Amino acid sequence: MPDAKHDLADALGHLRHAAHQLLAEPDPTGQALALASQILDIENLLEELDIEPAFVPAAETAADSLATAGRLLGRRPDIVPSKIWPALQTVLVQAGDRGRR
Amino acid sequence: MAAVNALLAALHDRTLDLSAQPSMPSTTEISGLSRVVGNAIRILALIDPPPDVMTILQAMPKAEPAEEPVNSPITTIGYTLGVLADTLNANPETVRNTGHADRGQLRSQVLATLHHVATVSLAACPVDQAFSGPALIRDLADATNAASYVPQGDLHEPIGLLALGQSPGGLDQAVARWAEAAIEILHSPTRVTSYAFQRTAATIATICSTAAATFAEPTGERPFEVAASAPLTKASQAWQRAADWPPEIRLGGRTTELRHRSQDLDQALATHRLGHPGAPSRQAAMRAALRAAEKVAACHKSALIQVINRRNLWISVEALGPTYLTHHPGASRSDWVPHPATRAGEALLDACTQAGRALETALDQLHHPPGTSTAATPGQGPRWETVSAPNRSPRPRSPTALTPPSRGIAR
Repeated sequence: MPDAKHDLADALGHLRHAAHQLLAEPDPTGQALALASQILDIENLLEELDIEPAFVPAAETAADSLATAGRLLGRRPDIVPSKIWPALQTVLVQAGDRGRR
Repeated sequence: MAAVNALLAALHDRTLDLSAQPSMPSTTEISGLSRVVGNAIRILALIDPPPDVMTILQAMPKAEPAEEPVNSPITTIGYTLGVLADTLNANPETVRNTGHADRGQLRSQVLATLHHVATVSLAACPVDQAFSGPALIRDLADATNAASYVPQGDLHEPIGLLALGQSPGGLDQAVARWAEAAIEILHSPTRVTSYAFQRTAATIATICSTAAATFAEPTGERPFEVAASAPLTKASQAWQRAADWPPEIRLGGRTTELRHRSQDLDQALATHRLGHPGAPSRQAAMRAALRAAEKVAACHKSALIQVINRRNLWISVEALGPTYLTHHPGASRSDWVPHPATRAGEALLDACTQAGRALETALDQLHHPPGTSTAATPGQGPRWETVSAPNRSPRPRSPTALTPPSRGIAR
């Protein structure tokens, strides 16, 4: 299994893709903007751990990018700050809801 | 007054305190159980209560309020549930329109609290005189056991942000604190980060979209504010584009204070959207927010010009491709290097400039709508005015041209 810092760097890279994908899409309701803002906040929390993002290949959708980031962070529950989990859970649910509409 | 999410967090903490306290509460202390039960019923009745739990709760006898000690942990939980019940019952429409996930989360948290209170009460007082017997409490602990394993989590807006007696100065204060934090970080060439640029742009976009929605509300008094709604929507979209940085470009660092202030403002804006449509105070609050956004927007642009001119942006080596690696054999694909080209910076600056112009246009529309004149106000007679060449853009514009880099500082 790759080292923890590698997982977190990859997760941060996927979060950056997710924010980019959301901000780039047409957003008449403002939902993508609100979701992207929350993702930026999660990125900021991870950067407080001195994690440098990896430049990873983009997933197909923002929801996929978020899911990948969630999986990578989920491998490292011991070093991911606890305040990231509720924020991450919220964006995962919201991204999933958007994907189903 | 605290919002629903804060109340649920407090409920969670107080329940943990109750379970963790070294000595079990006395029979007097657990007489607060009656308040817990009464308020839990008021909440559960709004959100599809489990019938078995409701049957048990309704069978529990009522204790006299005078029997409750003021500061016992169970009484505190009862009061917290009471505020939560008041808040939810004051907003039945919002509760009704809340999705299954949030209703389930709310139900689980209330049931988990009941479980812990019942468990502690049962251990403390197996033959409690206040109730006909421990059987009901044991039944309650059993019926709510599963919910105690559900992790605690925040509810989404709008239900998570509901609160009793919203502070009238809430939005103004949140905007002021956000603008102060944003301007402070944007003014610092050594501390500004890509997060600061992206988050301030996203927040300006949110302010614009909230203002657009607010000014679109029919008031019947100021039709020109309705006319500003469309340009504000365009400004919001333009600032959303300005918030969109390519993933291969970054400017690292810590920006904790701005994150807190931005989240507070997001909450205040979400609460604002729940307010009474058409109230003049709502439009006044959004005018003030737009004035602050305009100041932050100006700082955003001058800070971005400075960062680009100093080549402070970093780019991923992976994104630069194999040619870069060939010419820089010591570099690794996972490295980030000071940005060697200005193309990405120009794109960011262009988006920022477009966004600034869109905001300026929207504010011009709001302050000087076409077809209105400040020369003649209602109640005044006709008067002469001096006509001069039009000057529709009193605000100074910052230069957009990039100047040569001054030094190769990079983070």
